Amino acid sequence: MDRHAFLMSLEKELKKRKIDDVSDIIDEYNDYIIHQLELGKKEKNIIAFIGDVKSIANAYVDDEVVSKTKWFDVVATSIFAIPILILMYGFFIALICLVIASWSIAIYYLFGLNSLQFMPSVPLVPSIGFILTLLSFAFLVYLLSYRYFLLVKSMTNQFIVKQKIVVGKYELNKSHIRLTKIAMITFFGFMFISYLIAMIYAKSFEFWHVWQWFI
Amino acid sequence: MNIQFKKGVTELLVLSMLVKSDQYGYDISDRIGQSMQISPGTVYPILRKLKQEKMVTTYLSEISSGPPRKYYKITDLGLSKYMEAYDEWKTFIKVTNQFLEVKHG
Repeated sequence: MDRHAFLMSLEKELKKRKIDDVSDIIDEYNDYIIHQLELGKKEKNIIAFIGDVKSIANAYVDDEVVSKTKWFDVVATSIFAIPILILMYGFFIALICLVIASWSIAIYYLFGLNSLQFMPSVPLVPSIGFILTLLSFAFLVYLLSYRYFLLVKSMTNQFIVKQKIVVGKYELNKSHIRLTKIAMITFFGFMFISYLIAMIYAKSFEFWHVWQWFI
Repeated sequence: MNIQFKKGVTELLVLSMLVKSDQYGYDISDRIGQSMQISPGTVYPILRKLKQEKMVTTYLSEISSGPPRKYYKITDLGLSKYMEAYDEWKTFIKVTNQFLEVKHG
């Protein structure tokens, strides 16, 4: 069988099996044969190596069947999956808000603003500790929310492609994990030190009463 | 080699080639064909399946001589699939070797 006969019969078999984009498939085999001919191989041997036309065409059929999911399964899964994904995106937005909020509070104290009535007053020295705690907290939550976003994104992808909710399939580079560890240690460190400073400064374990936060 | 076995391995080989860089469709089938004696009749249906499952995407690249070439590019989903399949493969090999060693010993 020569190239044209092979491609024609492959085309016929693919069409018989109602495969989409037949010309696309044919082009690839044609391309393969042409390249192999350029290498000086015999047409007959190339075609023998590619294999039997019917079994090639069958290899495409199996895949078509798998890729077509039944409408009932799609609807049934979506009833649960879509609310779950929406909730997860909602939580992601909440995390981002947390980042912005703690960053803003840090800025508020950093510039010694006192325009907001409801913000508790903090003396200058302990406020430095508070600012550092808030900034490191904002950074930590930012790193965690990025990781969380990757998780939700991969779950969304899996859902769109496979109509499945799969947890925990995403790639995270090592530097991100290391940075998260550092951020976590920094945050807890600053929090502890700030508490100590505030405590010593206010001469009370419950410094918030001394500074009259809740009156 | 058993056909199902070949199919599974081919998928892993194709993904591993794409992890390194985007590949011209012919290069994929030629390299796998030469080194593993796996025919393009096995490789191309797998490439198509990977595309349908959104593990890979394709694009056309113009060349000076001849028609534009179809290139395959791995997606994020394909990458996670690759890592998963590669882990499975390592476990598979490890367990198989353990059995074989017992037989020889």
